[in-house]
Amino acid sequence: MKLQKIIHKSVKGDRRSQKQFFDLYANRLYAVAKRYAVNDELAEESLLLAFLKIFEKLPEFVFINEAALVGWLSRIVINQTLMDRRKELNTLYKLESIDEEHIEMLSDEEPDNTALVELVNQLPDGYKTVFMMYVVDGYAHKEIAETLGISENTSRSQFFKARKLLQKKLNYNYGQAGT
Amino acid sequence: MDKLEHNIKNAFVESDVNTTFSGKEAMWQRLDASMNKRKSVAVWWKVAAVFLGFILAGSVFANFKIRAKHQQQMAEMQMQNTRLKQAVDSLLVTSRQKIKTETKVVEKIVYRDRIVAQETDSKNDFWHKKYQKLQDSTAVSLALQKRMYQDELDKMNDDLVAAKSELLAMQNQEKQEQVTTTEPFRLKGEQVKMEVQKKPTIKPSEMKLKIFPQSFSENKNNLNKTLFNK
Repeated sequence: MKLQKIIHKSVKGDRRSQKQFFDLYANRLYAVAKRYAVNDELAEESLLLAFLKIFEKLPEFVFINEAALVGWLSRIVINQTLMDRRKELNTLYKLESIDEEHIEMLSDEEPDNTALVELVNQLPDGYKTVFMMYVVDGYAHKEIAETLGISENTSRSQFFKARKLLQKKLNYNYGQAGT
Repeated sequence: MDKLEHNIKNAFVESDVNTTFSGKEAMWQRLDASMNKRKSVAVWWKVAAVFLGFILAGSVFANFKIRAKHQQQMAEMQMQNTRLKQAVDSLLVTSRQKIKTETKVVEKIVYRDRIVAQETDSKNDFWHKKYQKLQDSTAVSLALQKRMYQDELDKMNDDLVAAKSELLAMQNQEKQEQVTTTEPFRLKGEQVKMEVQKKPTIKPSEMKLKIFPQSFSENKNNLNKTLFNK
């Protein structure tokens, strides 16, 4: 069935089409939720709530292409996941220094994708969230600030600190590979 | 975005694509149940909204009805109030008129020299006044008749006295006539000549004042003498 048809029927309330839509994007959106959630359980809870919101707001969505749809869905999931963590993250960003020493050093080998993901996941929570929102999900600093309830400057500083930390880590292990 | 960031983005995209969600079916069941629940909640809310709408409409209607009833009651009250005011005004006017009537009664009281109890608010005022009036007129007529009879009695008494004196005079005359016929002689009238009055010639030495009236003997001190012969 064509994607547009699935969306149209889902909007009409057809449960089979809604199931098809869910099956199509559940894995990808679960991965997004998992990136921002503290653990798998919270990621699942956030995803459930996000899907409820998606089916509720689907009539308002104007379909252009699948990439736009995925972006729209990802944003709903990210917002839903961060909504519960907003207070926690806000407190975290207020702290001046974040303990950077707990990052484990990687081996001397060239980092593959899994290693990079692992490296980012090892970043402190505040750095990681801002870094992933900016780099992976394409948020602007203004949007990050609005979503997390922090100032734009905090978002910028968090991002630069995260990048610096990653560079330091990569320089230590891979020389100039990261620059 | 530099190379590192690009690489990281690609790594995450690849990781997302490769991710499989094991609890997908369980989540769909939960999602389905939640959506049904939401749907039922929505239906319930619709019913509640309709019910609330009915209640609201009913309350508005009742409010209008109550307001109309209240206005009607107010109008009735006002009418009653006006009626009462008119009644009070009329009563005030009648009471003033009664006071005027009482003034007339007071005039009669002065004439009769009697105090009459003033009853302005009595319902039997008319009959009371009539009774008073009749009583007054009866008293007046009685007084007049009494005076007339008294005058007549006085006149008759005068006539009787006059008749008595006339009878007495006639009896005296009759007696005199009888005396003249029985007297053997008649006394002549005595004429007295009055002389010119002369001044009394009293010696000054004989003029003695007598303040103390009692007569003093030779042994007693003559107070009159001691008083004047000093």
